Amino acid sequence: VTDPNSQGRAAPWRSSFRAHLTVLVVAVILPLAGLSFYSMTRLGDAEREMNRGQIISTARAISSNIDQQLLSAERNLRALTSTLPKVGSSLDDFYAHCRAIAQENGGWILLADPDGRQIFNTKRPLGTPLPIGLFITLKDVTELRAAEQRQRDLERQLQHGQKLEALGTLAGGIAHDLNNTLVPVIGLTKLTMKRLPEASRERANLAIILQAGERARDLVRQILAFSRNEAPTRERLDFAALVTDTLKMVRARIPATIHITETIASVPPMLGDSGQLHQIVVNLVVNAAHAIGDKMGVIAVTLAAAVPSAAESDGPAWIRLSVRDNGCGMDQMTQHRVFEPFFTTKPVGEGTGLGLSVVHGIVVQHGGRVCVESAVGSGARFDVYLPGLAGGERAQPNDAAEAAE
Amino acid sequence: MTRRILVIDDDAGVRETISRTLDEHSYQVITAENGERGLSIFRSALPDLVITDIVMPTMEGLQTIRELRRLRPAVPIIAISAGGRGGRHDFLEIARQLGAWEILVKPFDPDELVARIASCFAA
Repeated sequence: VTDPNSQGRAAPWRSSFRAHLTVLVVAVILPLAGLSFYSMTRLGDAEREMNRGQIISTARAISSNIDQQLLSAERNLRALTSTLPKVGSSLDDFYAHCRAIAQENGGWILLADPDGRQIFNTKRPLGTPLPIGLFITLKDVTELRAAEQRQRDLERQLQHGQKLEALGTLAGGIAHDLNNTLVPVIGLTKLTMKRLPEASRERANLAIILQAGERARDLVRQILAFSRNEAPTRERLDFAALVTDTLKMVRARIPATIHITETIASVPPMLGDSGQLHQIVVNLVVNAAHAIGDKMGVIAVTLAAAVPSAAESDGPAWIRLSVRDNGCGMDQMTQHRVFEPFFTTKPVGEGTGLGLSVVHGIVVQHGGRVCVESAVGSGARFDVYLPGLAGGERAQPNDAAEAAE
Repeated sequence: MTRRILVIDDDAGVRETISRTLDEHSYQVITAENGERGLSIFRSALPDLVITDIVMPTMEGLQTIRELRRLRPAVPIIAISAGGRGGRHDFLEIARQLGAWEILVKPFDPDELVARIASCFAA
């Protein structure tokens, strides 16, 4: 192994010292590397290709001199990098080739190879006390990273659930006290208003207090709906008819500048709480209207039979309600938090941050799920999946009778 | 004859509001701040109707309703609650099953309360 580029750059004594050390270390390393290489090459090419995932997850070694020129590289490195780096080429070129993507931190570098696999890279100095080169190992950690990501996602879902539960309990307690507080606010205001002349200033003042009290009462109802963790009442219902009826009602609350389109297919019957399901439709449509704001816009409401994922295509029937708007859209951070109670992007006093968390709570209570797709400036799409009654499950009159009670 | 109504609620604002509302309709109102005190008054004052809260310290409303029914089953009871409806903990629904004639969610419209009282007496 030669070191052509180091000539002329270092002082002659240093170069000579380094050359000797390099030869010494390489003499030690090569038999070891050879041993490891032997163990790798025992597998035939075809078998190696078949077991690619397994093989490339084994650490691969390359060594370089202190000027970071490659002294040796195991042939199987090709599995990680798609080409074998040339002995004598610089490590910088090698890394550029590997498209280094992530942070360098204390000698650890994360690389991604051309087909998107993630490769973990460690560098250790060769030779003590004087470093004369680098020993580098590469490891394919794509599966490991994917597993870690799945773990993080699960933990986030769990934390989200616990947070909702804690907030639900807290909100339920506060709502109860607020409702008691509102009894005199609403009750005595109404009582006093009756005693005042129709056109009096005092009566008009009380009317404003009453309006504020009633707004607070509606807000508390939303909080209670959100905090209710019990299973909803279950009656057999036609969700398509419920959506159609709700849209008729909600249209009056949406500005005339916003057009609502309806594509309602017939869907399997389902068991659910009609009041709560009505609330889902209202909240999603009102939220979409808020995202559009004063501009002209369209809210597209679509109902169809559709499974949440291909893995569930053999399971029971699913119903999908999609509400799409062409409003302001959301960034990733907002999408992650959009179902959190009290999270709102609206100005103080204009949004409660409860609408979508109520939707989330109701959907989960019905055994369904809700997801969001959006990009800033490109609107948003909320998909609510609810379990429907499949043919086999439908034939259970006892369930239906119980549900109707 | 002036009808006598017993109001059981741990919230002073609620008791006061109901008293003032019913006073305007010429009902005589007696109040109690918990179920235990309410039962004691119920025995001595013999009210014609009882309005009781559900979530209360000392003796909660559902137990109070059971006792009221046991003592004088013919006396109409109106249950009121500030909690949410629906689900397993729908206390007002349980109150109805225990024998409450009417149920009302707080905060209620005073006219609605008066109408419910009238309907109990008309029955």
